Amino acid sequence: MKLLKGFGAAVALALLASSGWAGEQDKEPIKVGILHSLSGTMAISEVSLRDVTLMAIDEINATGGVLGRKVEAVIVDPASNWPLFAEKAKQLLVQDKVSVVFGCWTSVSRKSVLPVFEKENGILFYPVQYEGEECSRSVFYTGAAVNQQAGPAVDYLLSKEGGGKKKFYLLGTDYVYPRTTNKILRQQLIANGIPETSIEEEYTPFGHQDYQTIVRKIKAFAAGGGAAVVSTINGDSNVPFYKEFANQGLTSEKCPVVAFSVAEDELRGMDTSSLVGHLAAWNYFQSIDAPQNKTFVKAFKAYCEKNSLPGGAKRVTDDPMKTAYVGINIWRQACEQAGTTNVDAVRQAIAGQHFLAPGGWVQMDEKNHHLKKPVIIGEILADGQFQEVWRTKGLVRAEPWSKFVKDSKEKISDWTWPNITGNETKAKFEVPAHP
Amino acid sequence: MRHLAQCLALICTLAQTPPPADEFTKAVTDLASRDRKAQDAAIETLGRLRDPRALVPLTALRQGNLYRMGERLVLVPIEKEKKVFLKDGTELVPLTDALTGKPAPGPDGKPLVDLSTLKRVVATNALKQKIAPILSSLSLASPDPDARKSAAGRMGEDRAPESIPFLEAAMAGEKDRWVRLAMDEAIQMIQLTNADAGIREKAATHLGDIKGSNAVPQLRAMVTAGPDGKTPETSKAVVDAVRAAVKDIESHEALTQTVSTTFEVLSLSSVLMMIALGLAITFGVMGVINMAHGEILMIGAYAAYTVQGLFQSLFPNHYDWYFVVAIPVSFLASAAMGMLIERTLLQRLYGRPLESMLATWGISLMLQQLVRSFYGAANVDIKSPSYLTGGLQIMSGLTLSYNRIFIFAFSFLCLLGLYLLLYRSPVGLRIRAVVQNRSMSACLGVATGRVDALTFALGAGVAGMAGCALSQLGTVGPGLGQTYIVDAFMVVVLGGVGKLMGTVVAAFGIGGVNKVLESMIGSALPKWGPILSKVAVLALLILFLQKKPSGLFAIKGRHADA
Amino acid sequence: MQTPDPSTLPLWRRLHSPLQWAVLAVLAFVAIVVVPLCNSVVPPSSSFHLSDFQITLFGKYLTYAILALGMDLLWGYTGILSLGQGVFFALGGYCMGMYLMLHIGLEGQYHNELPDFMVFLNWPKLPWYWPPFRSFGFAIVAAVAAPTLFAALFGFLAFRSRIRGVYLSIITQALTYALMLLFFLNELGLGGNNGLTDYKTLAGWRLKEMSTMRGLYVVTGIVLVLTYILCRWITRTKLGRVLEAIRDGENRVRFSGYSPVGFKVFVFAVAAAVAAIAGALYVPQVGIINPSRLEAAESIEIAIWVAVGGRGTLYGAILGALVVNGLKSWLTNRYPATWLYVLGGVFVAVVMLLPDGLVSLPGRLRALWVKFAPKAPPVALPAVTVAKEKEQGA
Repeated sequence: MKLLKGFGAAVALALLASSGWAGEQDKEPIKVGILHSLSGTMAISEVSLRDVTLMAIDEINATGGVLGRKVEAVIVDPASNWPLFAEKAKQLLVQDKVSVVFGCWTSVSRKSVLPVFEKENGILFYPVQYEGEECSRSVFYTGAAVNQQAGPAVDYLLSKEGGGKKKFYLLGTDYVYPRTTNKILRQQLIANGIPETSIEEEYTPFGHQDYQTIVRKIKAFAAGGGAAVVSTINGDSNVPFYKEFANQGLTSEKCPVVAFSVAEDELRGMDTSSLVGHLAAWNYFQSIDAPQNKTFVKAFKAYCEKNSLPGGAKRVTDDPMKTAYVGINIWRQACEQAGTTNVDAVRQAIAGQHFLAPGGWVQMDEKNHHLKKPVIIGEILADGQFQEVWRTKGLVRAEPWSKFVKDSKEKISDWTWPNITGNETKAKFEVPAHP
Repeated sequence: MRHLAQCLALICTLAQTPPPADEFTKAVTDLASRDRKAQDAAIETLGRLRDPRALVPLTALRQGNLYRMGERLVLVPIEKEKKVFLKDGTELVPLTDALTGKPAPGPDGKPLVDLSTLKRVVATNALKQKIAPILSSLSLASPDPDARKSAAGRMGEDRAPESIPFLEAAMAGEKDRWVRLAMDEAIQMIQLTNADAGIREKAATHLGDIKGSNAVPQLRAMVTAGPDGKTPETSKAVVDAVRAAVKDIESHEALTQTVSTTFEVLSLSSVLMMIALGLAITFGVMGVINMAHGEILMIGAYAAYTVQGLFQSLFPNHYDWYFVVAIPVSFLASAAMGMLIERTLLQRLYGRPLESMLATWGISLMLQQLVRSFYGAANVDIKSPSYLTGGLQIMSGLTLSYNRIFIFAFSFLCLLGLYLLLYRSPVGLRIRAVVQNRSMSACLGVATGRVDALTFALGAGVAGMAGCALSQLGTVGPGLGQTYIVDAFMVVVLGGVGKLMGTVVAAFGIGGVNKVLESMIGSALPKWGPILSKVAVLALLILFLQKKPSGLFAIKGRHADA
Repeated sequence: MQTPDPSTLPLWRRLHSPLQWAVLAVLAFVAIVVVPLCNSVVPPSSSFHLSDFQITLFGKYLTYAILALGMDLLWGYTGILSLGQGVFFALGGYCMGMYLMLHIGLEGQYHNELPDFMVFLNWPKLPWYWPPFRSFGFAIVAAVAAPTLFAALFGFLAFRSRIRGVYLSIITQALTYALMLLFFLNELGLGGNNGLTDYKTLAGWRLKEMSTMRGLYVVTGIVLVLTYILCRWITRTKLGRVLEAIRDGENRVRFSGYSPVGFKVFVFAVAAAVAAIAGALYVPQVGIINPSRLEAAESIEIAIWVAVGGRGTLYGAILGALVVNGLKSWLTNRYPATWLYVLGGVFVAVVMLLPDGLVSLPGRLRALWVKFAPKAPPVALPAVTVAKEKEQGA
């Protein structure tokens, strides 16, 4: 008898759990999904993106909503668990029927949800810098591709302004983004006449805490000057790395570290006094002197204070937060232009949208689903902010397929006719000759 | 930071004596000019004047806290705690005048000014590069030895012959031997470029004598044959001297390497010991593996963060003392949490170690989320007090960082304390009795329940102090516990139950093997080093337990069911 | 209920009474036949319709249930709390993942025979251990055999030297951690942090098609039933008795002339095989396998499912896996910011208040009712121990 009860209860509970998700089919507000980890290892970065997206939704609703309807956020917690990302993505698209999803941080989470978005025909706005080598029809990449962040940073270090560096130590956490970035950077350095012998490459596992040996190696490498560290160290490992770096007497004058994963939000959790003068490459800094940026920063601080989020008005804004903010606003513009939230119509309308972002005008590329934006190098200041030291002239167009990678060189990423492709080397259709 | 504050004090005293020379004032004001040429001219003037008062505005310009308020140049404090954040997102700051060093009220006369009404003075990189040599020559007179040392190093790398007189003058008055050495090295590095072969030879020999490791690349370049088979250095005597010097320095570097590897082993091992001590105590006495041990460490670290925050707002002038207060506070906070867990949960799960393990895991989930709700999901920054920043130079080319030395010393202090408590006090006697034979102790009148509670609180407290100490080395965030937990378990399992000595030996064994393997594997397979060494340590541990399944220092007894 | 002497009964009767078999058949029928029909035949407008999303979700839960069965055999019946079941689950999953990767063919990002990540790392050809996985048969055999052999070896080393209790838990956790670090390495040729993903076909069927997913669901359901019967058989034989004896007093078993090592290694290997099968079924359904499955927390959770459902009862393990995962899916959705409190609280509460898990809840309630019901004759509280349940079940 117990057996019966056991199985019965199991099935009943499972059914109950699933039926609870259906919810009411209220047609009035437009639902948008937020797919950021609120617990687990990635919560450290992703919670801020949820906050800024919710703030943007508040702003949108306060200024008339989208197509005259309110926007309602459906928040789920994929808990830094990659298969759970896929499950939650499916749920947002199939059960909650959201019009668009804003989410993901790590590449693996994006890779894990990609088949879901392609199968269910959804739109994902992905706000984080990434390694490229992908261009999906269903994803809009508002974060930087390698040529919009790491590439220009190395050009800068090589230039006279950047100190004309001659030796490069490529140091990263062992996963795809650092590997890819360093692979591309190595080619780029060699193309610029840096010999292989002057390039070191090293990887550490996730969560690595003990950088004594590595920093000692860097110190020996940097003796004599002209050296720079290109860091793709991720997350928690940055604090012990920079601390050890300073403690062993290395300074930014002697050997600057240029990082691609350290922004204002990460600096909040670090003792910045030892970081002064090190560099980071981004497309936005909180310190950018523009009226719309001042409004944005102030609005975010006020939002955190109003909703009594931890940190309150001491919170800061950074590049991924800005791109998340840009993403939702571009989606809004596209919906207004298309006159509907229909995914196919909106996808077409997104291409080419301009938006006055906090850091200045940006534009969604007409073809490749990436954002065109300026690349800015900043130096870390003692107060945890960056000072711009260099920026590209005009907007940089993303190259999702790097010209430095053998198998990617020829690829087209163009979602307009006649190409309609993200990863082919030739167009899908032939343009008929004009009679 | 300390350095800047001292400079400010210096400026204040200077500002009182003579009226500022007009040329100097104008140059400083021109620093903020929008006209590039005027800025360049200002830098040139400041370089010519060599007025120590220029240090403050120039440093501020480099650090990015020099602002323009109307036509006036002001400094904005760097510390968040000196600023006021309003609910609507406005940031208010107190200002100091860049010239006089006196507080500068806003245009409306109020002491706090809205930051967004000020303009940051932006230095282009080209400008910064011009500032750098001036700053370094001014820094030669800085009260901070580290600043003097790095200034000398920079001048050596620039190899500008005009720096030599300044370096020599500074060296004559220098008391710190390592700074003097750095200056000496810089002079010799500049002399290597001298046109006179005799001076070059002397410089090379001297560099060999003082083991100037910074000069090695330069020395090597001098004697490396180019494509035409000729070395850049033409004089035979100089080439020989350079070769000898390089050899000298390299043999010294081998020594440095050994010493620093030893230090790394000691440092890593003391960290391991620190995180495992608390766990070893509770495991030894109660046979319970506390899965929330990592989160108890985390509570200690967050307690330190809270104390830091209180000091910043209440006693900003005694800020450096926060860490001294934080250590006992984190002990108490973690001990209280440990007591709470023991009294509410573990006490009821007595004799069911596996269930206790799972229950404490549930607790660890909740504690992580609790920290996220209260302190936010992002990491928090704990600033090292000034006496723990920087390092102690013990030989040429080798600096041991103060915070690692501190953790090493602190872990042994904790160990000593625990030893005294466990082996030299009546409480310790009871604890040891319970470890050896619980039921017999109970028969003899030991209140085992109370001993359990006290032990658990003690173990948690030690873990809390460990968390506080580790906040000086690594990240403090909700994931802190998970970073260290597996290491702590390994040390305890290897060390065995109930003996402090086991934990010590296990920590040093694992730390030592890990570091040695890391450099061994790292030299053979560069990309695999840190990861494979960890994997190898785990494999070795599993193999080791083949021989000694209850760890290194198991309690010997005749009972079959341990 | 009269209990006949078990040894005289035919095998099938020894496992369950006819009534229990009937219940099992009904439940299996509902899970394997009715649920998929609710998805494919019942129109979406009906309230009995199950969406595609729900079917894939249930499929995932069922693989977890299989995993929990192995864990229960190990912990509930033999008293070995392994925190390394995730290892075998992941190994099985990786074997299946390798097969699926090789059958992406030219559909990958780079249109290359090699998996994308190898193209990217400039690997000229497949490493030697990859090509055999082209064959479905080999992949299936490897998915089961490799983890089983590994478990047998590890188990032999551990049990021979009498590592047990929390020591074994820690050692298995360390094993999990070591393998996680290893699998993170890109040089290992298994995709590093990103793992294996973006599968297209399974034995010729497109994984995008719902019919394939339903098929996988049905196969998982059948495997669950078969695994249940296998585990039930193991626990109902003499072997099962020895296992329980080891759990309750290993030294006494040894003193009685049995060598527990062989039994423990056997059950460790069986549990690993079960976990590996679950992993192999899991991967095509969720579409990704990567080293995060080797995180310590994932393996601890498996033990939690079993504890919540009820140790030492196989259906309790299944119940626990379904309930905890259902709860987790629901909570991460409904209370994204606070769900960890609830989940952590549930774990603590179950361990504290329901040491025999949810399956003991009806018994507990009845006991309470007996205690407080008016005019009830004084009855001793039925001790809800594992052994008691066995007798009632027989």
